Amino acid sequence: MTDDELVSLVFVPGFSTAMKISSLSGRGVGMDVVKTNIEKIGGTVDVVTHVGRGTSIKLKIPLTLAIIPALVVATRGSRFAIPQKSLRELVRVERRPGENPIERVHGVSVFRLRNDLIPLVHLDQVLGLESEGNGDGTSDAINIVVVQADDRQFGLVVDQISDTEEIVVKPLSKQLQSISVFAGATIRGDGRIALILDVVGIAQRVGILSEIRNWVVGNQVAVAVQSPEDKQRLLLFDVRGIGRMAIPLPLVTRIEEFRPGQVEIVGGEDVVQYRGQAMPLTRLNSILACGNSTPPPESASLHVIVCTERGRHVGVIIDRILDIVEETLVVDRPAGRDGTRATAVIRGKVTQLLDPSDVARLRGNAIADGVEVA
Amino acid sequence: MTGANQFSTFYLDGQWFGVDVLDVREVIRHQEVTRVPLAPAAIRGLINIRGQVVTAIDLRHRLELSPRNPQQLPMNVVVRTDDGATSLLVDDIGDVVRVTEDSREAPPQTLRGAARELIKAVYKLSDRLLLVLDTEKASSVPAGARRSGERVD
Repeated sequence: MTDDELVSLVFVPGFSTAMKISSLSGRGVGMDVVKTNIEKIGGTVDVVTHVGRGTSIKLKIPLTLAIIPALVVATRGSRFAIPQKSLRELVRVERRPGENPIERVHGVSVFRLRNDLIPLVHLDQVLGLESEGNGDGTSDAINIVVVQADDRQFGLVVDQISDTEEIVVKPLSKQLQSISVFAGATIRGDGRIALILDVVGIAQRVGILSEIRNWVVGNQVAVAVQSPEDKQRLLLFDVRGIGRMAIPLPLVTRIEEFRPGQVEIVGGEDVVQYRGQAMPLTRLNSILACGNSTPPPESASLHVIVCTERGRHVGVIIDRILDIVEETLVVDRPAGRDGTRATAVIRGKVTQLLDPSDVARLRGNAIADGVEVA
Repeated sequence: MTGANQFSTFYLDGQWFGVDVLDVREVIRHQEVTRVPLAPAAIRGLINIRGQVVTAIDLRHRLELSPRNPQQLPMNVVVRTDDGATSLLVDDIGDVVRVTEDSREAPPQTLRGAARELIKAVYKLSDRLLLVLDTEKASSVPAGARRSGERVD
């Protein structure tokens, strides 16, 4: 019998090494139940063990039963979920009298997102729901969910943006699978069903795909002519006592808001519970050798940039998000050895840069303080 | 007596229909239906049955009968199909009836449209007729069916 075969004995029903059995435990049923149920849904269980070193158990679960983060939106009274991986950003535009933020190009709605023109798709129109309930025509703001389908971006106009949720993807029956705008369905906390939108399917259905492609090609040509350097997407924010700062967008996992009551103090450091982990919060003043820390007013909620390093989250407390810009980064002054940050002029203002080494240092601090608890 | 001669019965627009009792998983009250935009019109939407997402098909629409009065809430006859469970929306539920094979007749040749395709047999009972549906056909909607919300232009 090979080692693998020996290890797989733990899955045999009734196999037990227990000396004593009670009515509940030691009967050799547990691992058999795990294996049968995982295999029933099309997954696999793998056990690798080394004597004296440890055991790892790998569960592979098919995607149709996977849990994914998604944004829940509503249009005309129906709720839909948009997978987080398709999301780029959310834009809320206030309607001012006599001014329409949505412009039209030959009957197609477009929106100026910073320097880009992105096509807009009204979700209620794509889904044929125009005749139902109240639309967003009367509300004072327009909610745009900027999504990415392959290499193209477009804005999805919805009535309401709710919240992000972890959702369980359930497949649709065969007769509904041909509707390409849906990727599946999910059951929400209140027992109601929400359909999951397939962003690529929507782009194909509305047929603006070819138009977007033209735009993208146009943009790329324009960029190529103007600046051969790589453009970088940067998140601009403001920190009291430090001023304007920027961090490359790929380093940012999420932007979250916490109530001061959620902050707990562990080992002298501020920690919040976030996605099942204890996430350390850092005030930039403490790692950057500049400025005095002025504590924020107690009542205000905390704006936190979440960065992820090797699966662990680190939170950076900031005061205000300013913008997301796409810029060719020209560093005026490199980082000094005394702890001063590199600076660059972004959108006409001197801005300090937070880079990957800073993020790594934040994480290092967290581990040194013993916050890394399983 | 074999199971093939037992039928779970229900009513649609005053007519009495049945499906093989072995195809029926459960019968439940009206459930909240989540509409699926762009789906064929006979598909009323999705219902949540104990955490399972099940497609609900309006049999009145499938059989080309007049639409149900909106105040009348449909009942669900959940049937097993090759495509998992499907719920058939009906007006009201009848009994499970046992019929003898010699009362079976082929459906009239003059039937037209969906009824001709879906009604598998007619059983003569002493006071009325039971129309038995082909479960698999009744619980699927032809791919070419008109989509709700599809624009004509």
